[in-house]
Amino acid sequence: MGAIYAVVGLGFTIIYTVTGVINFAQGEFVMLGGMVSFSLITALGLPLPLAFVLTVVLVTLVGVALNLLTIRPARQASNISLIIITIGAALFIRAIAGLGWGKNAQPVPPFTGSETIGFLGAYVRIQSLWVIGITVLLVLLVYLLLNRTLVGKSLKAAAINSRAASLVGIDARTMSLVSFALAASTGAIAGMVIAPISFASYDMGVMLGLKGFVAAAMGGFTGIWGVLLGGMGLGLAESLAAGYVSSAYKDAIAMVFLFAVLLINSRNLAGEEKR
Amino acid sequence: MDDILRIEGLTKAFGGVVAVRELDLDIQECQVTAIIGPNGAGKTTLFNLIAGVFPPTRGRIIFQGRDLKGMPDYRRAGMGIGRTFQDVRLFGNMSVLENVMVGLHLKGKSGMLDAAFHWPGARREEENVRLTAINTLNLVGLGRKADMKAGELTFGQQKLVAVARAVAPQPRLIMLDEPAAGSNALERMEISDLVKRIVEMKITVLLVEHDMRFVMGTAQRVVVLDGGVRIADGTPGQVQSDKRVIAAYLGEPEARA
Amino acid sequence: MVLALVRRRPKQLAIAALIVVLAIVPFLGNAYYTSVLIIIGINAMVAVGLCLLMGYTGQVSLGHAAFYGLGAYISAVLSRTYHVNPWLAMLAAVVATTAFAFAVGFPIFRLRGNYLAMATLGLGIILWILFREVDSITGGPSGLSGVPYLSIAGFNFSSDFRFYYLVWGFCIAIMVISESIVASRMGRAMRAVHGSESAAQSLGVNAAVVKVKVLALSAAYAAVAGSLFTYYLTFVSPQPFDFLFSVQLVVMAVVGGLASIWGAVFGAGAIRVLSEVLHPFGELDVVVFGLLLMVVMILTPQGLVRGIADLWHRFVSVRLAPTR
Repeated sequence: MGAIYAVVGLGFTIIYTVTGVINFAQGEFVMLGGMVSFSLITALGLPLPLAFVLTVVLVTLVGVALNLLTIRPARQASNISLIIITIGAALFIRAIAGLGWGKNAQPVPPFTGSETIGFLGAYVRIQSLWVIGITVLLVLLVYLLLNRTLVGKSLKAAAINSRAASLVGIDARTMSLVSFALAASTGAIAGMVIAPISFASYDMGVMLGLKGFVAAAMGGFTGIWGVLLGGMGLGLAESLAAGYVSSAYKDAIAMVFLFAVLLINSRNLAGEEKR
Repeated sequence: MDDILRIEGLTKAFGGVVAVRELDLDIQECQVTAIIGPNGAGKTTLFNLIAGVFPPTRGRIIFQGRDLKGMPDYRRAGMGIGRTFQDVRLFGNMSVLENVMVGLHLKGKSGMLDAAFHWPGARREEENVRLTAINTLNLVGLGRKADMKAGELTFGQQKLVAVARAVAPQPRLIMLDEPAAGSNALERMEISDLVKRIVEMKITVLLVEHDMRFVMGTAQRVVVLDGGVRIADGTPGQVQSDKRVIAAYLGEPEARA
Repeated sequence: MVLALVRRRPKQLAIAALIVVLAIVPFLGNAYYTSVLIIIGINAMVAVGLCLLMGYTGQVSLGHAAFYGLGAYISAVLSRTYHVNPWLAMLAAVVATTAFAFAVGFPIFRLRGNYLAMATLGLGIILWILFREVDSITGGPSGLSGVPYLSIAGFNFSSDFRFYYLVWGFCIAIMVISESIVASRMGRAMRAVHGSESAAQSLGVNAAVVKVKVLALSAAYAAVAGSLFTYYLTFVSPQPFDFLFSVQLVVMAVVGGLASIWGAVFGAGAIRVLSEVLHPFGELDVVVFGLLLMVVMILTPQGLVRGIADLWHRFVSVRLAPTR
């Protein structure tokens, strides 16, 4: 699970660093990833690799639409307004999904076999290996994208100083769009790989989104590696809590983490006053 | 004349950038002291340090004989330190009168419960605050705009409301951050008069301004900062002929803008 | 004549109209309308509190259902399990919820904007999990039934008809109190903190204290509403206090135009009616809430009510222009 939190957190971080918006719909991208892949594989019978690619494309389009239809027209709006807008988007996507796919959790077949394998005395599901593998791959890809390509460098420039960036021909609006697309596609991938383990359901987005945020906050909203560590730490803490206290309080652990992180960092995170 | 404000060894560093460096400064009561200097000289940082927006890295600020160390900004307002901001910061959604009434926040005591139950004490207090606010607005010549939304005024008028808001509670010291910026020649004369009237109310004025003619015609004393260090200090006439001042300004010609 | 009155005294007229309409509705004999209006009144109290916090003070809360739920549970547990007089239980619920708001307020308001939103959201979820999981006290997911009715000297508020007047009595009291506060010294400090925190502080306003006080006041409103809610249903369960309700409250405040107490009440009504109409079609109501949030925030940041009010003013002034 930690790996998934890390990937969701990655989406938060990408959008936040580029646009300063915390996108409450991030968890819904993950949900869409799970649900769309479920439909493509189970209902349409598409082969896995094709479904995988199609899902990413579709969810990315949703991210792009979200940016074009809501964030762009409201660019002048205050921070609170932007938060509320993304919450509205999250509600909207979630409820549409609830209408379209129904409220039951949908089982998605794992990528390769459902059996577990023994490893150092512990039993691990093969899908879990897929999760970890794909997470590592994804994180590496995003890292390379941000640090080694022109697009990545432009994104970073826009994040640091959008006016200066626009002087050298980088359009902040385009970069905002790219960041949403990137966040949506990573979210979709996360949704697809996690769906076979936790089932896909229309309301999985809220909790996943929150935990992704916790991971991102633990990483300080800055680096990819911070998010990765944050996500893993959260996943570990949760499974420990489930083991020693009660699995019922698993979700509460994440929230307690959230508080701890926010309050410890409150001085750094306080940011500048909006005017 | 007594010193109302004494600054000793004041230093403020943001990361590696030192905005104010080992500054010693005494401000005399009931005078207009202007702080000038090129952009980035540390003028606004100095105001923020005195107002308590952020703590100094080193050094002391002593106001009326009392060390302000560790005192938050809203308590310093209670001590009698008022200020305006370079970017005005009016409460745009409130009326002009209400803006000034917020300035009188500390002159009132009534809380949430008083308001909820309309207790007579609260009502009397409210009436007094309203009267004082109207008088202060008349002082800056905006009495007729009292009921307008503050956000609907012109920039120059907004600056005057900000001054009224800070003057209303009759502070001991008022810091005006570029009161004349963005005003035309006529408005600048009015503001200069206003500053003199404020001093007559026994309020010490500390102001930051770029416009030299305004400074020379308003201030009794001019302090020149450059790179966070005081490079000159004296009457307007003395400072104007100081070689280092001329050098500092010529070194950065756009500073006059 | 009428138009002139509308123009000169719009607020007083609106209050009078609201009271008259509200007073008449139960006599229409439609039990469904009465019950919907009771829920609207209850929601409106919470929405007014949130409006003071978000609209006037500029501090977002995505966990307001927590205070509402806390009020409901404390009232329910005290009156049902410990047989405390329901009014006393309600008083205790209000006091405890307000104290809780004070306690969490100081650390939470060290955060701003996005982070504040996340922290309040987390707070709401933690309390919701507690309502659900501490079975021994709260009855777990299935809740507690058998909460007693409110009564005054033998007069039972057991019928919808009676409860209706009780709820709206409280609601109008809360509206009047809130209007007075907004216009007072405290209200100016609130709006100043919203406008520019640094400027407010430079004038001696302690922004942190103002925020916490408003949070506590809105928590008190929510506790009153929550208590009335359990006494109305004589039942309490975690479900009505979930994240979705917190967001619904935000929708009410936003539709009502954030900085308007009347708007918040209107928003509560509009959202409830929408829910009633659309809910039978699955979660269509939530789709509409989501859309509403986005559209209202993008098009009319001051809210639908303000937007409509502007149009109305234009209409009235155009109609009156020739007579002037």
